[in-house]
Amino acid sequence: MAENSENKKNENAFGDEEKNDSIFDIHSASLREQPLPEEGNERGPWWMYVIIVLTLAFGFFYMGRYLGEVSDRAHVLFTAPPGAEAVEEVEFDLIAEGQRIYTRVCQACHQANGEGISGVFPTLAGAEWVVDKPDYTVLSILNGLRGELVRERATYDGVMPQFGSQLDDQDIAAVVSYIRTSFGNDAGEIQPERVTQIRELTADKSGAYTAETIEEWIARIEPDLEESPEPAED
Amino acid sequence: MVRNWILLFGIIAVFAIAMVGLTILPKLVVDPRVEAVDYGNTFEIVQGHAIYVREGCIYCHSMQVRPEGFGADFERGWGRASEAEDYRNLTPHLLGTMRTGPDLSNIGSRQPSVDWHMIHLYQPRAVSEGSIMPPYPWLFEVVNETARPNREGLSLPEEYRIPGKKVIPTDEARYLVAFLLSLNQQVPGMED
Amino acid sequence: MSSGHLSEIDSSVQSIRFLDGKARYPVLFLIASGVLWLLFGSLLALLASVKMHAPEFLGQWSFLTFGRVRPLHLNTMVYGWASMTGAGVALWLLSRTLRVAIPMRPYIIGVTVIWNIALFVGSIQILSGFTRGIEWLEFPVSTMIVIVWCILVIGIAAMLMLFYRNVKTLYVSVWYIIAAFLWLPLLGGVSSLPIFNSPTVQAGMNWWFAHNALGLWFTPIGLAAAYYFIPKVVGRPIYSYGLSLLGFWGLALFYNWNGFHHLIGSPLPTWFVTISIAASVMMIIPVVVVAVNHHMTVVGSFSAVKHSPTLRFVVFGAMSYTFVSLQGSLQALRSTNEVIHFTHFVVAHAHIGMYAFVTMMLFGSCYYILPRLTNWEWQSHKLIKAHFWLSAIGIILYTVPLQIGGVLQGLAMNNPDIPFMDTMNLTIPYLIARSVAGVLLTAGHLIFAYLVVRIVSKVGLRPEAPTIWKKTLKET
Ligand code: HEC
Ligand code: HEC
Repeated sequence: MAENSENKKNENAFGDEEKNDSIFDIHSASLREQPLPEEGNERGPWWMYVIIVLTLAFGFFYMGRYLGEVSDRAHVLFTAPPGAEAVEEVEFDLIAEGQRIYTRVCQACHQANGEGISGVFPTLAGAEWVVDKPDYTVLSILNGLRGELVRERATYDGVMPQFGSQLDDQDIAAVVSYIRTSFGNDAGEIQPERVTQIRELTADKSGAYTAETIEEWIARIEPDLEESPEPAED
Repeated sequence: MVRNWILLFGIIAVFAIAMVGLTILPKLVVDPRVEAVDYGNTFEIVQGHAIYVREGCIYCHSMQVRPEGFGADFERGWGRASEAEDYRNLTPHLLGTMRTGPDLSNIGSRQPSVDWHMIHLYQPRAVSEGSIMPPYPWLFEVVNETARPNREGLSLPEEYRIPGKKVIPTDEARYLVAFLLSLNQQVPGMED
Repeated sequence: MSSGHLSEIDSSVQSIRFLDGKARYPVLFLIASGVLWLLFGSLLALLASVKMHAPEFLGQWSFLTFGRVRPLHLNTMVYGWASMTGAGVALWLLSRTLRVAIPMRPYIIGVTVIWNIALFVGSIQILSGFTRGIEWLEFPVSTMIVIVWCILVIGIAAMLMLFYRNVKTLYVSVWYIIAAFLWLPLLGGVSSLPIFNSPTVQAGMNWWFAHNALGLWFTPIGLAAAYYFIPKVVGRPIYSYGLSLLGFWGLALFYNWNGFHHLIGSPLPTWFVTISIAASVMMIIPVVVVAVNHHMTVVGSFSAVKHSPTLRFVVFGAMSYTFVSLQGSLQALRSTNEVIHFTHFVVAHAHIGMYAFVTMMLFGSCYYILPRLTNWEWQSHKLIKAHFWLSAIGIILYTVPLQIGGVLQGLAMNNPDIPFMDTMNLTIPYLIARSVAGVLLTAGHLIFAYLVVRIVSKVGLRPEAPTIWKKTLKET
C-alpha cells in the first residue's frame, strides 16, 4: 500500500530532484512489478494461541524448576541429588577397569595395541620386564622412568612421567593387571594391597627411576613384600 | 514522529535490559571471585596462552568440564567441573564450544610429558594414529644433526625422521607446552 | 490518497524508478562487495572443511592452518558477505517502503570502501595470527571498531530515511531494519569495551554477542526481506498486521536473552544460563507467529514459487528460519544440549541459520533488486535455476548428514566406555560429505557471481522480459 498511496512529487528532504525519464522506461519499471498490498488484519488460527500459551507456561515452569539460587555458583541443580541414583555396587572387575585406565592414561604413548612406537615409547607386548617382574611396572608408574633402556627390538631414551599422584593403588593394580594379561602377555594379575605396600616401602624415593636404580629398588623391597599373590612363573 | 520515538525507544530498551542482564551482572557477580586468587602466571604460561590463541586450538578443543552427571566429562578423566577461577585469569577466554579433540582443562595432569607434547605438536599422527589434529611444524626448527650440540632433537618415530637432521623445538613450542602443562586442576590455588 | 487520477499511477511509477535510480550506486556497491567476500569466504570454507578430514593438506604453512582459516571463513562471511549485502538490501527496502531516496550516498560509498579495506586488513591479521581469539570477534578490536563504525554510518542514513519518510505508517519491514541498524552498532560497541577481562565473563559476553549478531542483525534483515518480497511477488497482502507486531516485539524481547544457551554446563553462574534457556524456549512464540503470518500470505499462491526466482529463494529462507529457530529452542534444553553441545551438530545448526535462512534470503533479494538498479535483466533462466538447486541441495547435504554425525558424536562422547578416538573417527565420513556439499555451494556462488557481473556490466542483448520461469508473469 505504501508504495501506491504515496504520490507526492519527490521534492524530497535531501534535495534530490527527480529527473523525468522517458515514458518507456517509466512504464517498464512499473509494469514489471505489482504494488505492495496493504497488510490484512486476520487474527490467526486458534492453535497458534494454544502454542503461545503452552510456550509461556513451559518457559516459566522451566525457570522455576532450574533457576536454583541467585548467586555466583555454577553447576547448580545439575547433579542428581544424592540417593536419587541407586548406589548399585557393580562388581569390581580389575581387568575391565585396567583397560579403561590404560586407554585414558597410557595409550597416548604405548598405543592401543601395546606396541608403543619403535625407538620412542617402549612396547609392552611381550616385554620381558613387564611379564617377569610384577613390581617393575608398579614402580615405573609410581615414580616414572627415565634414561636408557636397552630392549630386544630397540633402545629407548625417553621419559615416562610419574602417575603416582594421579592414580590410586586400585587404579595402578588394575592397569598393571591389564597390561600383564593383554597384548599377548599372560602373566597374572596383581592386587591393590600389593601396590599399597610398594608405595609405602618406596615412600622416600623421589624422582624417576632409571634402568639401574629400578633394579636396585626392586631388589631392596622384594624381601619386605608379603609373598606375591600370584603363582610363580617359569 | 511519536511512532518513530516509541519504536526507537522500545528497540533500545529491550536491548539495554538484556545487555545488563547478560554482560554487566555476570561481571559484577563473577569478577570479585576471580580477582581474589593469585595465579602465579609465569612468562612462559602467558606466552603459551597467546600461542594457543594464535593457532586457534580453541576451534577443536574445549576447556570447560561439565559437572558430574551431565555428559561423561568426569568419567572420561577430563577433571572435575570447571570453576571461574580455573582459567588463570588469562584472556581471551578459551572455554571453546567444540570437542573435535578432547577437553584440555586438565591436560597437564593427564599428560605431563613434555616430550610427548612436543612430538604431538610437531606431528600428531606420530603418537596418535589417525588423528585429525593439524601439525604445527613452524613451532620447530629442522637443523643438521651436528648443529646446536647442546639441543637435543625430538625422538620421532621412524617414518617421521628426516635423515641427517634433527627437529628442535623453538621457544614458542616450549611456551605452548608450558601453558598446556599448567592446565592442571590439581595445582594448589586452582582447586575449588 | 484515494484520488483516482491517471497521473497518480504515473507519479508512483516515476517514484519507483526515481528511488531505484538513487539507490543504484550505494546499493550496487554494497552488494557487489558482499559477493566478492562471498567468493573469498567460500574458498576459505573449502580449505577449512578439507583440512578437517585431511589434516596434512597444506599443513606446512602457518597462515593456512585450520585454526586461522576457519575463523577467517566465519568473519568474512559474517562481516563481509552477509553484513554488506544485508546492509545494501536493507537500504533498498527502506527506500522502497519509506518512499524516500537513500540519503548520504557519497558517504555510504565512502564507508563501503573503508569497510572493504578493514576486511582486507582484518583478513591478513587473522591469517598472520593477529587475532582477538574470541569466536565471532576474531578481528582485532581496532579493525572491528572500523567495521562497526561503517555500519553505524549506514545506520545513520537509515535513521534519516525514517525521519524524512514520505509515508505515514511504518511497514513491518521498516521496524526490523531500523532495529537491526540500532542493535548492531550497540552490540559491536559493547563487545569492544575493555571491561570483559575475566575469562568466564568474557565467555558470557562472547556468546551474548555471537548469538545476537545472528538474532539482532541478520535475522531482522532476513525477515524484513521476507515481509517485503512475499506479498510483493505473490500480490497478496500480509495476512495480519497484528501478528507482525507480535512477531517483532516477541523477537526483540526474547532473542536478546538467548546468548547463554551456548554455555550450559560452563562455570558461569547457573541462573543466568537458566534464564537464557527459558528465553530460547520462548522464541517459539515469535517464530510460530511469523511462520503463520508468512504461510497464510503465500498459501494458495504457491505456484508463484515455481516461476519467480526471488520468491523461490525467499520462501526457502523463510521455511529455514522457522525450522532453525524451532530447532534452536529444542537445542537449548539441558537434556538435548547434553548430547549436542561440543559437537558438529551445532556447526550444522549455525549453517542452517546463516546459510539456509540468511544467505538464501539475500540471494532472493538480490535477484529482485539488481534488475531494478541496473535497468537490465538477468542473463539466463537456466543459471539462476542451477544456482538455486546447487545452494538448496548443497545446504541440505551439508546439514543433514552433519547433524546426524553430530548426534552420534555426542552420544558416543557421553558414553565413557567408548574411547575418545572413536568419537573423532565416526565423524569423518560426515566431514567428507560436508566437503562435497561445500563444492556444490561454491559452484552455486560462482554462478551467482557470474550472473552479477553480467548484469552489472550489461553485456549481451537486453532481454525484453523479466527473467522468470514463465513468460506471462509480471513480477520477478
Ligand atoms: C608420556 C608418555 C608415556 C605415558 C603416558 C606412559 N608411558 Fe610408560 N613409558 C614411556 C617411556 C618414554 C618409557 C621408556 C622410559 C625410558 O626410556 O627410560 C616408558 C616405559 C614404560 C615401561 C617399561 C617398559 C620396558 O620395557 O621396560 C612400562 C612397563 C610402562 N612404561 C608402563 C606404562 C603404563 C602402565 C602407563 C599408564 C599408566 C604408561 N607407561 C604411561 C612413556 C609413557
Ligand atoms: C582440527 C582440530 C584440532 C586442532 C585445531 C587442534 N587439535 Fe589438538 N587434538 C585434536 C584431536 C582430534 C585430538 C585427539 C587425537 C590426538 O591425540 O591427536 C587432539 C589431541 C590433543 C591433545 C591430547 C589430548 C589428550 O587428552 O591426549 C593435546 C594436548 C592437543 N590436542 C593440543 C592441541 C593444541 C595445543 C592445539 C593448537 C596448537 C591443538 N591441539 C589444535 C584436534 C585438534
